[in-house]
Order: sequence, then C-alpha cells, then structure tokens
Amino acid sequence: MKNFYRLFILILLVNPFNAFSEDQLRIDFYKTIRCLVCDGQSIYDSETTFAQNLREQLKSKFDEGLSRKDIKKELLIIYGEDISFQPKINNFFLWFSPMVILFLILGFNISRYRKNTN
Amino acid sequence: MSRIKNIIIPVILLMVAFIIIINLNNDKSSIKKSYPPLPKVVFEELSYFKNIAIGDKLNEKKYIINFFASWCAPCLAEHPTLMKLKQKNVSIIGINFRDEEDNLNSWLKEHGNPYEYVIRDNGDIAFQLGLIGVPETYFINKQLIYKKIQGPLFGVDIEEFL
Amino acid sequence: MLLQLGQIFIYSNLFLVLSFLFLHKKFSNSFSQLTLLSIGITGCMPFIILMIGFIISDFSILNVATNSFIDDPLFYKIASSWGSHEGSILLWIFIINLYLLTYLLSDKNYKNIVKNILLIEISFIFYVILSSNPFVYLESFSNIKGLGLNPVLQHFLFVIHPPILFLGYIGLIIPFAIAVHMLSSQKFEKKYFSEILKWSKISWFFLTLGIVLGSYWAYSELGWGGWWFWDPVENVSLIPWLLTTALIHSTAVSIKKNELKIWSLNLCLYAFIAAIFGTFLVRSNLIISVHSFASDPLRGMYLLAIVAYLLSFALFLNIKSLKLFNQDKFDLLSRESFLLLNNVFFISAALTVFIGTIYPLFAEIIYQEKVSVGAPYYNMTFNILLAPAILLMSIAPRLSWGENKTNLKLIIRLVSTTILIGVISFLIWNNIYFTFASILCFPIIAMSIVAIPSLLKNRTITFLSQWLAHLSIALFILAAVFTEQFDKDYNIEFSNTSNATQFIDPLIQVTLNGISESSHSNHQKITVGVTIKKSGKIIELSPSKNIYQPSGEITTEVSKKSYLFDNFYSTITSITENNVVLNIVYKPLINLLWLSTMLLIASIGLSIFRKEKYE
Repeated sequence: MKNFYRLFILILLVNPFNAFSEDQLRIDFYKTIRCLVCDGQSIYDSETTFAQNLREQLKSKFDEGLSRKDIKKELLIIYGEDISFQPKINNFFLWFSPMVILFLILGFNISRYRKNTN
Repeated sequence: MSRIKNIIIPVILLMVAFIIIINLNNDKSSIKKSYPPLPKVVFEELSYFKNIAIGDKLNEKKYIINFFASWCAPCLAEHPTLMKLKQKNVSIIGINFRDEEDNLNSWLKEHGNPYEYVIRDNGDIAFQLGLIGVPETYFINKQLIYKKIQGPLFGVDIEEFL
Repeated sequence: MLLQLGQIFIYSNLFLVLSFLFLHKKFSNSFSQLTLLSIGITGCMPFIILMIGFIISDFSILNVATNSFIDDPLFYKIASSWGSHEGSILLWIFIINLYLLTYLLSDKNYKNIVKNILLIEISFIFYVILSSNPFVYLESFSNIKGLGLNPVLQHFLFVIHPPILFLGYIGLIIPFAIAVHMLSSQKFEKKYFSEILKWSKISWFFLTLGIVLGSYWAYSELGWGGWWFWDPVENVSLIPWLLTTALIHSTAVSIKKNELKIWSLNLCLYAFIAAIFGTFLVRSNLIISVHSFASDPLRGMYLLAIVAYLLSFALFLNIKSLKLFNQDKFDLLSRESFLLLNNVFFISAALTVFIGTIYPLFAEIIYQEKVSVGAPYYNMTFNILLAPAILLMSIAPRLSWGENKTNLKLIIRLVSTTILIGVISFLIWNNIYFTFASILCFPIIAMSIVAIPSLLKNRTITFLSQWLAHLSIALFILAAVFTEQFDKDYNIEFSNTSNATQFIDPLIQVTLNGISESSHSNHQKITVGVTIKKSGKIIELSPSKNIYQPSGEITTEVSKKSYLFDNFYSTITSITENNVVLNIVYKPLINLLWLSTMLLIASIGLSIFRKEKYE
C-alpha cells in the first residue's frame, strides 16, 4: 500500500504536463474578476469593451511579472471591492455561515439520534 | 396566546422589512467613495505632447479629464456640453480611448474640438483611473479627483463652471 | 370592452373566494364543488383576457400599449402578456387556478386543502387590485404603435421559460396546502403524503425544465459561452429546486417508513415560500437594481409582507408540532439515515445560495460596502456542500430500508477502483477539478451501467427512473466540469489587408467567406459567414448583428454548430467598413451537459406516470 502511494506522488511530480500552467492560472484569475457593466459575468465570460480592456491590461501586468496578489490589490484600489467576486475574508457571516449551518443541522440530528437509541 | 404570537411576529418582520426598504431608498449616495490618485502618466504624456511644463500650469487650476471615442454615440451626445465648457475657458484634457487616429481626427474636425489637449490611450490611462466605459469625466482640483461622472455630461454636472 | 371584462372577472373571483372561505361549512358538497369550479374559471379568465388584448393589440389597455409593438410577430405578442410585472402576477393567479381545477378533478380529499390554496390566492388578488392591475385605461391610444418588447427577450426559449417556471413554483402550492393542513390538524395520513409526492414531482418536472431552458437561453443568446452565472435571478430559481429535490426524497421515506414526517412537511412549507420569495424578488427588481426599486416601494413591501407572514405562520405550525419532533428511530447504516443526511446537505446548500444572493444587499445596508458574490464563493461553498451528497447518491440505492451489514470487501474494492479512476483521469487530462469530478461520479456511472439493463429487462420502471435521474446528475457534473475546464476562447480579426484564412491555433484554421445584409419584420440583420477547420472537421458559422425598430437597439446574435458532443460558437465583436473582429469559442462536451439535463427531465416525467411502489 505504501509503495502505491509513493508511486502516485512520484508520478504527480515528474508529470511532463503542467497541471497548473500559467495560462490556466491567468484564466482562473479572470473568472474571479467581475465585469462591472455586465449582469454578473466575469471579465473572462464577457466580450464588452470594459472586459476586453481589463483583460489586456491585466495580461501585460502578468507579463511584467507582477504577482496575482499585487495585481488584485491594485485592481481593488482602483475599482473598489465589488470588482472581485471573492469578498474579503472579513465578511465572516458570508464565508462561515454555510459550514456553520451544516454543522448545526448535523449536530442537532446526531444528538437526536443518540437520544433515540439510548 | 399562540394567536398573539402569530400576529406579533409578522408585524415585527414587516417593520424590519419597512426599515430595510426605507434605508435602500436613502443610502444610495452614502457609500464610501474614494478615488485613486491621478496617474503620473497623464502628466508625463501632457508634457511630452506640448513640450512645456503643463503640469505646473494646471497645478492650481480646476480642470477636467474627459474620456471619449469616435465610435461612442453618447460621447457625441455630450459634445455640446463640452463645447460650452470650452467657451467658459475651462481646460479639458481629452483622452481618446481605444480608437483609430484617422477616426479621431475626422471626428474632431467634423464636430469641433473642445479639448485643450488630446491624448490617445490604448487602455492604460483608463485602467489607472478606473474607467467603467466611455464617456466618462473626471473633475480635478489641486491635482486631486473630486468628482467622477459616468456617462454623458449634462448641464447640471457642470453648473460650477457656468 | 376587454378591459371591463377583465375587471369583472377579477372582482367576481374575489367575491367567490371570500364567500367560499367564510361560508363553506354551510355549503353542501355539490354546492362547494360548483363554487370551487367557478372560482377556478373566474380566476383563469383575467389572464386569458389580457392575452387576447395583446393578440389583437388593444392599446386601450395601458399594459398592452407599453409592452407590445404592433408589428411584433404574434408569438412575441403573446409572450409580452407575461413580460410585464402586472402580467406575470395575472399569470400567477391563472396557474393557481389551473392547479386548483386539476386538483379538484383528480383528488377526492380536497375539502380541507382547498381552503389553504384559496388563502394564498386571495393575497394575490388583493395585490392585483391594490397595486398591480394591468387593466388600466389608456386615454389617447388611437395612433400609437406600442413601445415594443425588449429585443433581448425576443427568443423562443426565453419566452416560454417564465410560464414553465411558474408552473413549477405554483405546483408547490398543493404540497404547501396539504402540509399546512397536516401540521395544524396533527393528523398524518399516508394518503396525504402520497399526494404530496405526486404534486411535488409535477412541480419538480417543470422547475427543472424551466431552469434548464433559462440556462440554455443564456448559453444560446448571450453569446459568451456561459450557462450559469450565479446571478440572483438564477439563484432564486435554484433554491426552490433544491428544496423540492430534498422534499421528494424525504417524502419517499415518510411514505415507506412513516419517518421524517416533520422534515417532509417543513420542506413543503419552505419550498413554496422560497418559490414566492424568488419569483417576486425578480419581478420587483429588488436585487437586480436596488435603485430602480425606489419607483414603487409599495410593491416590494407587499411581497415582503406576504413572505414574512408565511414564514411566521410556518414557525407557528412548527411550534405547535414540537412534541412530534423526536420520534424517528433508525439505524445509522440504512437508506433512511442516508436520506436524512441528504436532507441536511440539500437544505444547507439551499441556505448557502440564499445567503450568497442576499449578502450584497445586506452588506450595502449594514456595512455600507459594495460586495460582489459570484462563482468563486459558490464554488467554495455550494460545490463542497453537495459533493458529499453525490457520494451518498451512489451508495444509498444499494442500501435497504432498515438495517444493513457493512461489507468491508466491497468497500475496499470500490475505494481502490475509485482511486484508480482518479489517477488515470489526472494522468490523461491533467486537471485537479476534473479528477475530483471523475472520482465523485464514477461510482454512479459504473453502477448504472450494471443496474439499468437488468431493470429494463424486468420492466421495473420505478427504479429505472431513479437510476436514470441519478445517472443524469453524474453525467451533468462530469460534463459541466469538463466544459468549464477545457473550453477555449479566441479572438480573430479580418481586415482589408489580412488574409481571408488564418490560424488561431496550430490545429484550427478559420476562413472568412463574406458579409451580407438582410431585412426582417422588426429588424435589420448583418451576417458574417465563416468556415472553421479543426483536425479534419469542417464547421460553418454565421454570426450576426440585429438592429431593431423602433428603438434602434443592436443585439449580437450567436451562431453555433455542434460536432458530436462539442460546440463551436461565434459572435461578432466589432464590425466596421474595413474590418471584422470575431470571437470564436470551443466548448467540449457541452452537448453532454444538455443531454444529461434532458435525461433528468425525462426520468422525472417517467416517475410521475408510474405509480410509486410505496403507494
């Protein structure tokens, strides 16, 4: 069993294809940036001038070698928080409520189950 | 007893809903607004264009930066307003956004040129200022942006200059 | 004339409903039936009259004048009848009455249930009379031609999508009414649960169909290659769908094992409330554009009041039946417990979508900050919440009701095959997300391949629809992840000086064939013809731009062609005298996505027409 896992990890490491290619990372990044003149689409999905311009600008920043973190920071300063589809982590209620709800309901059921089978 | 509960809870929920709706109507403009600083590139380009220290010239004045394009219909709609501003000796920097030089020249020739300076932009300046779409106008005083109008300019927006 | 008729029917319907609600105890059986029948008919008429008004272009009715154009094709004139806010409320009332009539004619237990349906109906009639009456007289209507239906909406799929969704939403009114009756009378008869199951399935059929049509419209019409944007409008139809899915699974347990009763009934209540909340959130523009809502705050308030009232009523019913909450007893490893878990996951998922949709509004009011919630949020929450449910979906059908013994050998075999699939998937396609999807979906597909042929042979339709539905979900997930991860998007420019044939990719060659113009009843069209050659396959596309009368609005029309499961797709980005810029999109396996949704809808339909084994 152990050797199977070692082999698996080895294959992952020497894999000739790049699962995390630059292009793919850039596209993933575009999908998190909102097109401000569209109905909820990202700048990757949209073909409006706004989206096109933003893609070109961001691409040249990527080519310059800036990190995703810095590019995003700049983007948020210029366009405001709502250009990112990923709300800041300090929106605690938003990010944590799904899991909290899940655990609350699950917990309620588990305690009920325990009660019923004793 | 449960009858009373049945009435009180919806009433409370209704009041909450009412408060939310009233708030929505009022709070349109109170969202924090802060504009990015004027990008250096604008001034560098200006200096290059006219070969004089325009930066100094405009330092103490109020002036306007207007993004436009020959392919943009609402830009044509706001054009008379810009011409009025020119009559009042307001300095307008026109930034031609993602356009062809020939189209730009023929557009200015056909409709008139309200701009003190025209800069061609492939999107860099637009990005640095946070352009949403043309036409868009920025009002600047003492090198700081104090107002931004998305869409065509109307008389009410330039009242301060009239 | 029509206008007055419309008013007459609305008011007579109101009168009949009120008299039934107050006096039904004094009515004989046949008189009740007669009254209910007339309620049904007078309730259906206003919408039919409005539609006739649109068909004959009666511009004396304000609603017709503002939403239709005299030269619009007939089909779109009909569609405009539900295109406006007032029209859609009338459609809502029409469908409530349609379901009322169907329920009367098909089920014998109607007496107690119908009361609840009528209470809902009455709140909508008041809504129409107080603030949403389309039968308003337009003074000088003789020389107008109408303002026209928004060109973006002039597409067959988008046109039939609201009525179908409404059929889905309102189908939930019968389970709602039954649940209210059962919870208030504290009597839990099996026959009522069977009825809930039947009507929920009908609603589920239309909900799924409606959502898929809307999604397919977005894919065909918006031209950007996407089919789901986590847009508030889309989310708001997804929430009732999720709750209905949970409802159906939960009710099956209630019928078969007389357990999870309170879960099922609560799901009935909340699925319907979610449906009302959803449809009016969209129609009253509250989320879409917070500022356009200011034009008529009364409308939004009324809807919020209805939802608030129903929510508190649901709470009240729950408090009343508190003592029945802890009665279920079952084994941990049994179909019941897995279905209970299923409820938990689906309800959490529905709440997550709700929170994500509402949050931007919430943040704007409380924190005065503008926040956007989109795919990244839902990918990290919704997908993760439902992934375990998919795993459950592959195991639960193999469990029996009641006790099950754990089979260690089987588990090891299944787990090791799944890991193997994961490794192979990663080596071939090199994509983490698709690998996860293959791991999640492989067990179901494998088991379906084994189970379905024998079911077909034995003609056990009940289980067949179940397997088909689960299989379609697995296929859907695979196709969705594959198409999102491996799609390609190209921009290509043709000008007077460039070649007519260019390569956008080492394997893909594009040739410009020509540009043409044509005239139609309410628009002009400019079309660009182009040929694409990919690895030997030849695909011809003709994207275009339409310019509409009388508004002058320009829309971008998509041209798409399929090759097996793949789609090629093109739109015109810009077109001038000297050059054309085209956008070409390659969407692999997208047809499998649509096929799987069709399979899901078909399997739901199949299950409606076969009486369930539990009954």
